Amino acid sequence: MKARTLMVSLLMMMTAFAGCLGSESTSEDSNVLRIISYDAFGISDEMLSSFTNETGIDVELTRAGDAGGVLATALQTREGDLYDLVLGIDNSYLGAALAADLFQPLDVDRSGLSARAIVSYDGNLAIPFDAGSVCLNYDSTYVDGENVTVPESLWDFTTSNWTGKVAVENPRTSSPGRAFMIATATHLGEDYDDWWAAMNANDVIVSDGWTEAYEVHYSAGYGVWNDGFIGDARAVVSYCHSPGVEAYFGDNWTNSVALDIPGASFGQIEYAALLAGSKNGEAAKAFVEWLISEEINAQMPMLNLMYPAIAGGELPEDAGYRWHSVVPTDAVVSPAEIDANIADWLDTWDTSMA
Amino acid sequence: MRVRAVFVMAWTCAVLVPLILAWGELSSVAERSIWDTLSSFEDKFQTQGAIGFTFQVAALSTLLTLALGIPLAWNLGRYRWPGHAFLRGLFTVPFVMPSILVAMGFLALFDAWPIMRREGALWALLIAHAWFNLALVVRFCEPLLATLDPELEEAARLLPHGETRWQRMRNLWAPLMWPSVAAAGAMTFLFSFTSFALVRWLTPGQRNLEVVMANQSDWAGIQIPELGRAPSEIVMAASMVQMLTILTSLALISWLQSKRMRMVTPTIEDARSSGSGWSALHLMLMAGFVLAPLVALTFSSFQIRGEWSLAGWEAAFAGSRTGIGVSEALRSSIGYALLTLAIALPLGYILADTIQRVEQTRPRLAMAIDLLAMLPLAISAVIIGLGVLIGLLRTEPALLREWWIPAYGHVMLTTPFVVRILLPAMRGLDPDFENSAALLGARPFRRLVSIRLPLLRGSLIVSGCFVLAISLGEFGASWVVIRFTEWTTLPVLIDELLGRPGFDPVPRAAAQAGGVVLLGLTMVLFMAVERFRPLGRGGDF
Repeated sequence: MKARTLMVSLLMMMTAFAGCLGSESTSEDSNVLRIISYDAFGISDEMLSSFTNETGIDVELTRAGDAGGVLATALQTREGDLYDLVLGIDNSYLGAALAADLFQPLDVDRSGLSARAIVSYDGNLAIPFDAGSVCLNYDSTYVDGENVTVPESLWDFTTSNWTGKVAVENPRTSSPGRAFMIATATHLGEDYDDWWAAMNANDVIVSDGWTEAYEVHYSAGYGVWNDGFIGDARAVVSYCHSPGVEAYFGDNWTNSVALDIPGASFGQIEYAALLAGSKNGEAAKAFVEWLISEEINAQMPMLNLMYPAIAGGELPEDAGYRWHSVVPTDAVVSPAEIDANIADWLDTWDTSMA
Repeated sequence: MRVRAVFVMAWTCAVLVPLILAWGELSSVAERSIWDTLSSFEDKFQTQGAIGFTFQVAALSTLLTLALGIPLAWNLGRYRWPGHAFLRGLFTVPFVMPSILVAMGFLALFDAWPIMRREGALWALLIAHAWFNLALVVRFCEPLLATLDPELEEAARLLPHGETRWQRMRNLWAPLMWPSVAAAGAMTFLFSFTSFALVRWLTPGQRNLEVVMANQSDWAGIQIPELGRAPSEIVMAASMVQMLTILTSLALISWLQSKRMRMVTPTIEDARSSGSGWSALHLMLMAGFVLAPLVALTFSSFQIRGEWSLAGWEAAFAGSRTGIGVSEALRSSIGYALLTLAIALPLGYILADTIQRVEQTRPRLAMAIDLLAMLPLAISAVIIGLGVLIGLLRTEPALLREWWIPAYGHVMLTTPFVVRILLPAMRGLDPDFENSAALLGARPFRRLVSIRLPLLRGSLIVSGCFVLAISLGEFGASWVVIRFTEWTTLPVLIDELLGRPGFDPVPRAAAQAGGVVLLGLTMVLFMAVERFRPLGRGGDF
């Protein structure tokens, strides 16, 4: 008898819980804007609710890994009408998305965008909302100018000074890794596979994600404070403004320096785009206009750790954020070129690094 | 019988349909055969060394786990200790701990020994695997040791082949214990083979097959050849190797389990004696080993950049970094866990019941159902996730937005455990009770409620507890389908916090704080339930 009472009460408890979960189920009304973005997307809940208060549009945010995961999910579910707006596909993936006719036009006023934001693509299918360059960062306590000088070419990293001391990300699993790989392919041209093979011979450290490369391996980042820190890498692929972010959160102090080798960095631009199947264009337009409005977009350096996309948008001066950041000379490569070559570049990379 | 057939069919569909859909999708993009892909594994960065590493880690982890686990099971099983139930609970808890938290705990622990992050990284992984799987050895071996008739050992002492301790080991204990030890070993092999979070965090730069598949999961099955071809080929080949290996060890486990039940007749009595000081010391050391990473993680959650701080805990509960706090996430987690329990427990019961009833007459069929019940443990989450996604997209995409869909993954993952726990308990039931009741005119439902369920009460509670704990800590299956903020579970919240760039140190501490809450909850659950497990019973877990 006891067992029965137990089961009945358990069943009742479960129904109650199921009920309270179920009641939260979203309604199908058109005033819900369904957004898909990457895990690290930094718009806070308070900001989203202020958007809802201003416009009456509810926002439902789904997270799908990194920029690649966002595109992959959008492609995989394109028949399903699951999302309206994609946030965070960057110019390294844009070519593939455009080739697949994934988006429909989004008619927002683009006149306020900076030149840097529209350098890769200037059209209404994808609206830039932030930007930042991917490049190598180095530990200034190691590069002392005497025993080790500041590298001037990518080939410097194939010398014995850097054996086992450079951390990069796997381009098949990491967006910064992929961006850097594209920069090297454009910058090095025919020497691309040779350079990576030389890096492999020089024991380059390859991590599957930015987090592991930067916080586990890099000796001049915040990883020194973390459990499991190794610190064997004196240089790492990250953003050219990562040292600025380090300073901003570290009382204007950092050992990390961004390295500007002209043409060996990738200017990453992140876009908002309306999925072809969506019938929620008006709400999407309102959201994107809000996202690139002066008030919100100027906050990108704090919210999403990226440069604003609007003209005149800058990193804040506070705590050395801007002072420690570098705007490098990026590799010149269009989304269409990337789309045409990416499969080859990736396959070559896989073979050179084996 | 018809009801059982329906349940078995439903389960079969739930397991096999996603598998078939995923394979269909992958093979439609792949251009090379599985064999071709496998033979070029060593020439490509993404897959290089993965197969060797996977087998090496699984084999070494199994050896280390047995080396640590057998003495512990002996010590726990043969001697009587104060707080025995507590100790048994303590040694079981690691097994249901979410592996990403275990990884964080070990990272915190090894922070004091940098060598474990460099040259000793493989050892770090093996130790973590041993920590994680210790419960298997204890649970498989301890019940038998605790109830084996002491007269057997007394008799062995008098015989010429049992005079010394070593001889008794060889001639009495080894033949008695080997199926239990082997089953625990096979199970450990399985879980070390498919280990993901521990490999990813503890051995940087090394990939096992599960990590390889997870790495390719975004693009596997995408119907654009330039993007989807290579990942699809890799996932197909890796999952094939994994599935064949796991199915082999599952078949072995199933066979060992039925063998064990036939050869051993334990007494109902407590056969334990009191232990020596050395045994007590050993037990305390092992308890320390189990607690160490948990304590290290707790300490770490109170630290920010090397200084003591409550900021992580505050952020975790206020939800200031994620929009939702630990308590809300915990509520969703508990909701999913209870829903999973409501499905997995009856389902697992019926599967186990069917296997037990069928095995007398048709042992092959019973074995097949047993393997089917265990199959989710052999299929990578990558494959199940892809299969569910494709299946729903082709039939009813709107379902993907339903809040209860993630429970599907939880049910898939927990039902095998219910079967493994209930099946031995059912085999141990004396059929006379039910037969007499039937003779007295009790109808099947009445016999179930008044005899069978009360007799299985202990095992039912233990398996329910496993379901709750595994569901509460489930990270992997949650990504299977779309994640919405409103139903963010605690593990997903932790995962999200860990996914942030750590320039701002608070989210990481908040993730650790959330982890400590999850660990605490699981621990309380297991300590509380341990007293329901009768001595010598509780099946295999």
